[in-house]
Amino acid sequence: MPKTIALTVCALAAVPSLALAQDPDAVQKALQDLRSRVEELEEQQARTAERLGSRAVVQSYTARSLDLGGHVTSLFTHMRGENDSETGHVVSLAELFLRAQIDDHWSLFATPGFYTFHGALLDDPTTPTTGDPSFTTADTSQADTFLSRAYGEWKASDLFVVQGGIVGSPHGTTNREYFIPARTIGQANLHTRVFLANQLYPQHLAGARVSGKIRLGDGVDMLEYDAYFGTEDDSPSDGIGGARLAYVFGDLGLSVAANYGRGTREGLSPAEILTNVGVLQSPFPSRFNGGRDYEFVGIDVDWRRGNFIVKAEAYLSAESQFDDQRALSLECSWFVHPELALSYRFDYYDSGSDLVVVSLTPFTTVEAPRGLCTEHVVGLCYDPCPSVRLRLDLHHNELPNTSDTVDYLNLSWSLSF
Amino acid sequence: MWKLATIAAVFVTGLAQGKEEPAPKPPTPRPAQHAVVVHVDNKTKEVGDAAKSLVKKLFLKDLSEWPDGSEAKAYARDGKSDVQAAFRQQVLGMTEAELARHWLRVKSINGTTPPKEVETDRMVLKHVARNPNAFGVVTLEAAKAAEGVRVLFEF
Repeated sequence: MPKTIALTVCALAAVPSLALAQDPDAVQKALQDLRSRVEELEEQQARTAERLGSRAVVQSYTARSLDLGGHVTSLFTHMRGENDSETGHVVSLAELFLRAQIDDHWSLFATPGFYTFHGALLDDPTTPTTGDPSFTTADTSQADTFLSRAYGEWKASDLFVVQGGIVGSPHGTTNREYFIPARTIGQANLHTRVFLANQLYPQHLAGARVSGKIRLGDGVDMLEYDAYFGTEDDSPSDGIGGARLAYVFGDLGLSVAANYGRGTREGLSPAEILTNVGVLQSPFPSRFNGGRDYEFVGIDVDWRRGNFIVKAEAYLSAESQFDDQRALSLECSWFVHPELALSYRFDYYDSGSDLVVVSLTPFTTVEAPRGLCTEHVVGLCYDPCPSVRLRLDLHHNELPNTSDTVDYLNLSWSLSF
Repeated sequence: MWKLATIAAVFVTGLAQGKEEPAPKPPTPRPAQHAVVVHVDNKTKEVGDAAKSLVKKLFLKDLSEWPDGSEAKAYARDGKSDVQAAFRQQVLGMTEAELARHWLRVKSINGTTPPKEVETDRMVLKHVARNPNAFGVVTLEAAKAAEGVRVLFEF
């Protein structure tokens, strides 16, 4: 027992001497380090609590991640036509973006949307001298719905991705991006102006799309491919298909793409042909009266370098028994300030030919040119913050089948999250 | 209308001479201060400009996989931090506004979202050390002292 006590006393006596043997500077440094870590953790915890507070956190049932976004866009116009000037509302739309990653390979993406639309009739041929321009009417309490994207995706790798459902077509520079808040000019170019419609090439379809990216050489340049097959809203039993092959010059921010597609444009019944006149001249009717098979080829160029964005596309379609369509669009945007861009766009669109009504009794139609339209647009867009875009666009439009021109000023805004 | 367009152009040109975010400067020979780090088991062999080009594509989500086929996971830093500004200018070669426009654009194509932001070097290193496919940017000093990660390139 005395021996044990003696050993304990010796051990206790050694503790202070061990502590004194440590470098005080090292202890201070370690202490300081620990304090800074605790400070960091408290800071992070405070930020997290500030974001969440006592609110419930949204959870998905089985998805690994769930992203929700969307936008609200409105467009108003002032039109100076051949008879009068009109100012009014054209379109307001709200669209939600929903993306869920289910596992490493499977995901889904859907964009349910709602809109109210007042068709701006630039030059109504049924009222050649009076009444232009004018607006169609709508009822905001009965907003229409649209579904531009709703697909499931399986991704084997960057080389091979399959989408099925309502998918976007890969054609055209602006159509490929689709998202309205990303546009520097509010209205789409002439050959894609009718929202989601197939004027020359399809903007979206119900079917499947395969795409991929291949790194070339040292990995700077890439090859992108897209192919799709499906049907369209107005013709669920007629197949359409197409492909796009693009070379991406990584260092230059430039991509050049070749496009091909084919399909069928569904014709309209006599009653529909008559109503197709009512939503005309934006500047073309939204649909074709005469059904036909078509094939098209086209080239897209997209160049993004510093404060400049240049987008160009040229397309040509063969429309079986009707005249060919030709379209050219060139758009340049210069961000003169991080928040402010000046844009110019030139559009040329020869819409080929179609059936027109020459007699109601008996109901008779003949083929006639739909005409050629050109448009110059000068636009300003201002981003007070990255999620808000305000646009002011001046359009000078030379209308088809007439020597008339119309000028209109569009004011639009998009708020996205 | 053309008068209005001319006035607008003059107005905009005037603004262009005003405050503008400086374009990314070309790389100048100076000691590297930052590093892109990957997990210590990451088998990527790219070095130098090839590594920068690959990281740029992965960060911007133009590509989603490392060359060996594994899914890449990027960690960003606070947009206002020095380390993120250096990465944006020297690796991505973009201004802050360009980067914001990029994310706005790709969101529409398939719902792609920007990489998650991590606030401190220590947390980036923690994430990268835990995830074999992750990468992030930290100060060179922090990278050299860390375990479980390796420096893919310095800048």
